[in-house]
Amino acid sequence: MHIARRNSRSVKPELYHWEPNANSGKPIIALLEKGVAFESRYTDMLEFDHHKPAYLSINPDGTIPTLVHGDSVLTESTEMGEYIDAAFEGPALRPERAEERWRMRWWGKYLDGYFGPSLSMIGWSVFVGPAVRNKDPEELRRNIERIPLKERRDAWTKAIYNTFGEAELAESGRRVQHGIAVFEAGLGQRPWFAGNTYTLADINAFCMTYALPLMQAEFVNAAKTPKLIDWLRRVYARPAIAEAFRLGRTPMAARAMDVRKLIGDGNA
Amino acid sequence: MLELYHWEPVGHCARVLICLHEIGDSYRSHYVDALLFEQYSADFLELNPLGQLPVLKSDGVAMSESTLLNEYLAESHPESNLLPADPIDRYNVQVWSKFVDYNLASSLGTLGCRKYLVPVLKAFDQAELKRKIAAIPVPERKGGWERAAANDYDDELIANAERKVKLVVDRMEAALTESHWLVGKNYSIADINAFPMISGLRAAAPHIVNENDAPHVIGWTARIAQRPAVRAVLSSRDLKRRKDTVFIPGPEHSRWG
Repeated sequence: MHIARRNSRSVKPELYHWEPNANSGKPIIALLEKGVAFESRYTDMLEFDHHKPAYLSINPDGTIPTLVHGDSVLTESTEMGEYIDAAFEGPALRPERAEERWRMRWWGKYLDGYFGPSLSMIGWSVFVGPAVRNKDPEELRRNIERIPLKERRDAWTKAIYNTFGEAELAESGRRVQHGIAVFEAGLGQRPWFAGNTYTLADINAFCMTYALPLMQAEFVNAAKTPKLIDWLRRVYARPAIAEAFRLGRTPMAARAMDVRKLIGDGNA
Repeated sequence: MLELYHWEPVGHCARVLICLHEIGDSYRSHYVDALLFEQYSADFLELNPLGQLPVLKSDGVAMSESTLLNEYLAESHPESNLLPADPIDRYNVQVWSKFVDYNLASSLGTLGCRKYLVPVLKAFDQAELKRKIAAIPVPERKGGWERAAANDYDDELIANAERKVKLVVDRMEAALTESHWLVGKNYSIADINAFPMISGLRAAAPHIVNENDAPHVIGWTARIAQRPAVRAVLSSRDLKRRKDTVFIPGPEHSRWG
């Protein structure tokens, strides 16, 4: 955890981010939706850029993303969204009504505390782990040692040495399925996650779910989850989303465009 | 009219009770007995399918997650000054609350239950208890009860919980050495959210949370305990039904990263 200082707000913010995916995606999309000009500082997670001294001097926890605005340093992506909405001009990303604000934050907590960790565990077992395992074993060992937070060190150790347990992966799979059902039910009640308008809850949910029609094709499709697919179509259609994916450098961004083609625009 | 479904004035329930008393809104109190597993009843799960207390009902809408309820209450009552206006200060209120939620709430559950819930459950009819735990309809809520019923706390689990408590208490001690309150110059919901967790840890982990190792944190709890709203909550006979120090399993420890 990093506590941010108060700042003078006239300066251009800098965002240290990886792919427009999961936690990095949230502030990228929020800034683009509001039309805030920012310096994009691509931080290559697969090269362990965020565990190198230069990055740790900015964010000692070594987590991505980091938003630097004046002399303020913000490191929590969900709360960063609320800061971005409050500190900059542009269309509101938080609802007016208190009850919808509560619901927006409830989804943030559900995504960060329940759905996200399970989806990440699976994603790291199939993508992040295999993407780095071929590196020099000594370099990998040194990289693990440099990770400041124990929880992150444990996660990287598991990904690099592929020590995921069958039971924990199965439990994560169950939770992802449960989450998909909860999303479908929520979107059956309201057009957007928090209520009647597009908010930070939709941005957070999109960053976690945008690839599901491809990754979980059997469970997330127009027949089984029509509300979720309809919502994904509406979010994918926003100009800020296409702009966000242009900041990606790995095949993940191309994959997002494949998903968009796969789900179509609903008018076919 | 607000309605609060709560258990004892400890932990997550105490947070929202204190906030309600601070803003001075009247509310209808519904006591849900967590040791009788009333939070897993069909009626309660209608209010919160995750089976967690407390729940705040406002205009018929049932809302959960104590930190978010306090933000809702503070935003609805700007005159209470429980939320700073500056965006960075607000961010810091949210970050402190999240840091406490992720590290203290789960650890307090582990350490408190091992010390206080285990002997309470020993006195229960064991076959009945086993049956009731097996019948909890929310899978995520079963583990903590199974552990307490079996007194199954390994060294690694305890060490991890203690490490997280120390991490938060050290950060709080540093912050409270510089300032009276966690964020900015005023008492805020960041303080309200952390207070019941630290109070619980003074009992559950006195070797970490004590006058010698964290004098400023202890001084801060004393300042909060003197507030009229806090005194009203902690002493109210209407809220307190069980006499002993009360602990129930908290949220799960993080499964990934």
